[in-house]
Amino acid sequence: MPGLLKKKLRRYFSLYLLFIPVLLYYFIYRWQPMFYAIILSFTKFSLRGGIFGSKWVGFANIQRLFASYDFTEVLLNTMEIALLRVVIGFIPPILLAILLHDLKYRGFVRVSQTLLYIPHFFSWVVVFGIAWAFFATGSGMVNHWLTSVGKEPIEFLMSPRLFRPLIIGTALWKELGWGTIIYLASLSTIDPGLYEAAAVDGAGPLRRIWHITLPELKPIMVFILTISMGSILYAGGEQILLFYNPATYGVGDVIDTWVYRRGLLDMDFSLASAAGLFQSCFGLLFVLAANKAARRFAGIGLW
Amino acid sequence: MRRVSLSVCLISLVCLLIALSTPGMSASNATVWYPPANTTDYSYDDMSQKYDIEFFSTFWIGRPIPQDNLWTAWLNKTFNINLTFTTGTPVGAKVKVRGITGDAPDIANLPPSEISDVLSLTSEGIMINDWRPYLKYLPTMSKMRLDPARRFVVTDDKNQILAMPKPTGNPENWCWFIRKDWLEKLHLSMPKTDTQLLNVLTAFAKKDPDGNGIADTYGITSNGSGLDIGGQIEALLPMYGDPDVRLVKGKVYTAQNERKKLLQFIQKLIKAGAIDPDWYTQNHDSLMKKLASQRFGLIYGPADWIGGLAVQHKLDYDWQKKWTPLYPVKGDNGRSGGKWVCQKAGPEAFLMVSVKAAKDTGKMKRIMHMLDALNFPNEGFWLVRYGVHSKGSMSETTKFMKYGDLLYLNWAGTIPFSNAKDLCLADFGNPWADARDNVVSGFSPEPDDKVTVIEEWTQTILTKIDRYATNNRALLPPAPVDIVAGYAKFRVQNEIAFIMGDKPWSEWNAYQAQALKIGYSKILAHYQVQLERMEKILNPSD
Amino acid sequence: MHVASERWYQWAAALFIGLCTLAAVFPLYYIIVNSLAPESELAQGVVIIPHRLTWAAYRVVLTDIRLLQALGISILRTAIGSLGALAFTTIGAYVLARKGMPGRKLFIFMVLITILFNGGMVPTYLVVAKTGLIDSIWALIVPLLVDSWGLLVIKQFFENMPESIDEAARIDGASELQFLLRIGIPVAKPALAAIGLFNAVGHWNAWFDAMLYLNNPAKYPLQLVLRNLLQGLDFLRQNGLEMSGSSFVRASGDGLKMAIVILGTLPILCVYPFLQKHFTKGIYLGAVKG
Repeated sequence: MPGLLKKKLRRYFSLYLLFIPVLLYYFIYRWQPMFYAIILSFTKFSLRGGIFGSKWVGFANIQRLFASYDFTEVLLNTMEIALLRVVIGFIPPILLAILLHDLKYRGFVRVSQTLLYIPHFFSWVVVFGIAWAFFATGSGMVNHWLTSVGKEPIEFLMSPRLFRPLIIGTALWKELGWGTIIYLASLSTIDPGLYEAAAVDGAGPLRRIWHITLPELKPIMVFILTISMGSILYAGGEQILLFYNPATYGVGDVIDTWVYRRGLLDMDFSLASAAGLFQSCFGLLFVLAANKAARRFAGIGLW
Repeated sequence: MRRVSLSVCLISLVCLLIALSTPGMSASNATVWYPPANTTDYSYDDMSQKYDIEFFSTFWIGRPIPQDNLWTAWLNKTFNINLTFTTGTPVGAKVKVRGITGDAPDIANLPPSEISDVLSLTSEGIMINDWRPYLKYLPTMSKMRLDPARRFVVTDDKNQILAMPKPTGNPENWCWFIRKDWLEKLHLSMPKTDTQLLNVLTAFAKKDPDGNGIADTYGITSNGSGLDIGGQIEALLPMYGDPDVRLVKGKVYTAQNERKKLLQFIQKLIKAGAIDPDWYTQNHDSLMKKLASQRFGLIYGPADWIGGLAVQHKLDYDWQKKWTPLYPVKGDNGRSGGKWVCQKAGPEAFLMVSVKAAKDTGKMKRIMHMLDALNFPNEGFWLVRYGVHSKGSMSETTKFMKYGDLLYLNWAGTIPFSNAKDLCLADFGNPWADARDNVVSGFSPEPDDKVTVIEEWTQTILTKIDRYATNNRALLPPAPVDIVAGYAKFRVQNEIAFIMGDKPWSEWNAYQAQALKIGYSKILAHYQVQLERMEKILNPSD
Repeated sequence: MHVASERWYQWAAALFIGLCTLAAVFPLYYIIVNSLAPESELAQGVVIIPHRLTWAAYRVVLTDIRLLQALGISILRTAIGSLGALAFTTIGAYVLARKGMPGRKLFIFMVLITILFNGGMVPTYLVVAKTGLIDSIWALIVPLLVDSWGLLVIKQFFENMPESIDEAARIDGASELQFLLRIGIPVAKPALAAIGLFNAVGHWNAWFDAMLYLNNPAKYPLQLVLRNLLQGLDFLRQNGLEMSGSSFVRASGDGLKMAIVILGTLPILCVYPFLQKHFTKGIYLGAVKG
């Protein structure tokens, strides 16, 4: 008996030992920031006091957040852009996946897939470089062509009207191919017998898609849709930070970019932390709600 | 008859002789010049212990300093230290972050735009807030003509010196310069009104003034770095009036009306295609590069920019002569403005030392010794600023040539740091010693008689061009960050919206009203207090 | 069954897929072509099929010290960062896969929370500052040492191992570490490969953490240098390509920018064809694990 217990403890002891570096990492770089976030959001940060010695101000920072003239606009921008991403980005990968799945020339499909996945692996900086090469006012391809046919060049990167289409468009371009993978995985689980039965019945491709393919895909489609809604407070700050400038702040400034400027450039730690905390808390709520909705409507959830 | 013609000949002969013997820039007059070794007494520092010193500085271009540069090596050897530089703005913010972790850098050099950081770093106990006890270690610096700059870092009640300001070198020879040869080629006369300027700049862009068949020139550009309209374009603001923040009849005035007209002018430039499309997003470096590539015809800067560029890029000496100072242009089609801006002597930077370093008296003495020894007229100044010392140059090509009383620098200039040995510490940005550029009259690419036009231009600018004195913008401590940050975004956002036509000009007054509501009124109140204080400092009634 | 509409459908599908593929790769082609075209052609107008090719831009790029430095930094952070992440993540996954360990559920919950909730940009920055990583390359590595999502995926793999192996090892007296190294890792290899590759790509492409945490431009990774260059915030010193005595070659530097864009994505493009299956498998793992 004692020997077995000793062995068990020794076994678990070595596991704990192994886990220590990982635990340390989580404590220092994941949990500590959460702790700081709460403290910074409810105190008025001063250099002398530091993080822990500054004065407690309760909800004053959050009040200041919503009293600031632009945070509400920033919040709306965030949600609008996130929503646009979901709506625009939803159908195309499904469509493309179905076509890839159905096309008989498998060689062509394989080559296409390889090429289609490539943009996913570009960094946003590279994507910006590509967008710049196409859309820049002075040297971009599109404007070169426009001036050569006598038209006025379009200031793509300085135009508020075109900012969101640019952002959403480049994001779609980047993720379209990769987004088909999850649908292809689902499509591969569909019983081919169903297709054969449909063919026997004389159903053409459109009817086949409508009556068989889409219903089979419904769970995963609903899952993707609802889970995407969960990240409605995260509108792709990294991409926007590269593409925006003061001309497009009005339509493009989102929580992440606002927090970067106010928190790290202007060093208003309290305010920016409050904004970040707001984003994390409500973001969590949205994800939880989205997961619940996904379970209910699609039968699957994140957990 | 004959007697008259004889005297005429004699007189002409005499005149000719006088003319020929006038000291000119000829090879026979030039001598190589080395600064004298300095004799300032630093015996308070026994130089025995080696110290690690960390220095954060603006080095306004923000280029990284190569590791094995000669200057750091010289500084390390001469002062028995191990020096590390961190460069690039913002300096104050970086110092603050280090201050939070209890590890502030030993020396920091903040640009005047960060004066609010000077105030907060000293009040929060991160950097020392009184230099008076150390003045005895600074025999050279304590004698410098620092007023009125120093007054802005001296507290009202206690007369503490919060930071050591470094006076600006050559503040007064900034001007607009225009391509004379392009004007001549396109048969245009010197623009005198903003409308004429617009036409000239459009012509520069559209009519291929360099004759190479490619439409790659523009009238003008700017260096906003994607954050603002940029200092270049802002320098046109005086076309419409005095651009400075000042008291007008006792109330603060921030030149918003003039600003509106400038923004309208920029809009016209864009519509006419006269301005470089990258004007809003590119930074200073990019601008200078394009300038050297002959891309525009109008540039604002100090008289030695163009000369310096010529040397740097090994351009023809004659290239500089293609430019000429532009006399002030009047806005409102000739009805307003009429002066350029003179940046009066203000601090180029503020030197600060950390409280942490001050606790070690030996280290403090070393720091003070070093900072003082690198100020004019000590030898260290010549070396760090120009790479020349009493025994010679640290590189093969950099040297001084003296023509009579005038000193010219044969300057290798900033070249890619693969040739690190030719670099001068000042090439990394503004010298962090004392900037006394006006001890050097100009730059000479050849060590003989080919000198630049900088001296001539400087004289023109100082004596013949009318300028508004703008002191306040550089020295006014900005309002606290939580007021300013929101307004700053609002301002830049709206300004570019008006320029690009996304907002009609009819909404300008509504924009001004809304600005007041979101915090600009607080900023104005802050300026009022500060301007009144400045008035008292500059014009004490007692 | 070849219904007529089926054939139309096949053609339409092929066309659509073809267009999408073209849209995906044409930009890349355009950038490559522009990086290889001589500046004189670029100054004339849009180049889609160049008349001449030149390596000039790449020569400048690959001989510029700062770019080489940045390239080195990128390689360094990618190698150390992804290997380190793989090590830490795998250890964490393994430990949490051992059923019966006291506290396991708590730790799993802790990991889960970090996926859904984070401290935010400012608090994380302050933690990085407090741990002395500002202006150090380790700031690009240490904060990313455990990939929580990857941990859960690998954990799944470990949990799917049959009990019998576990029993056998226990009887043999193998320690946990030995078990992990000799048995666990080979079993989980597909997952490890996928997670490792994703992390490597993430590291290679990262620029924002470098912008936040690094002050010294000499330590910037390639992506950050590229970003500064594209946004006109930086300008490479061009040695020889432009300034030749008193004659000016009117180079806008566009070819150069394109060359650096390609450099910014070249390693990924090179290894991608060989590793494609690992990448796509990773998605399957992530999708199916629920």
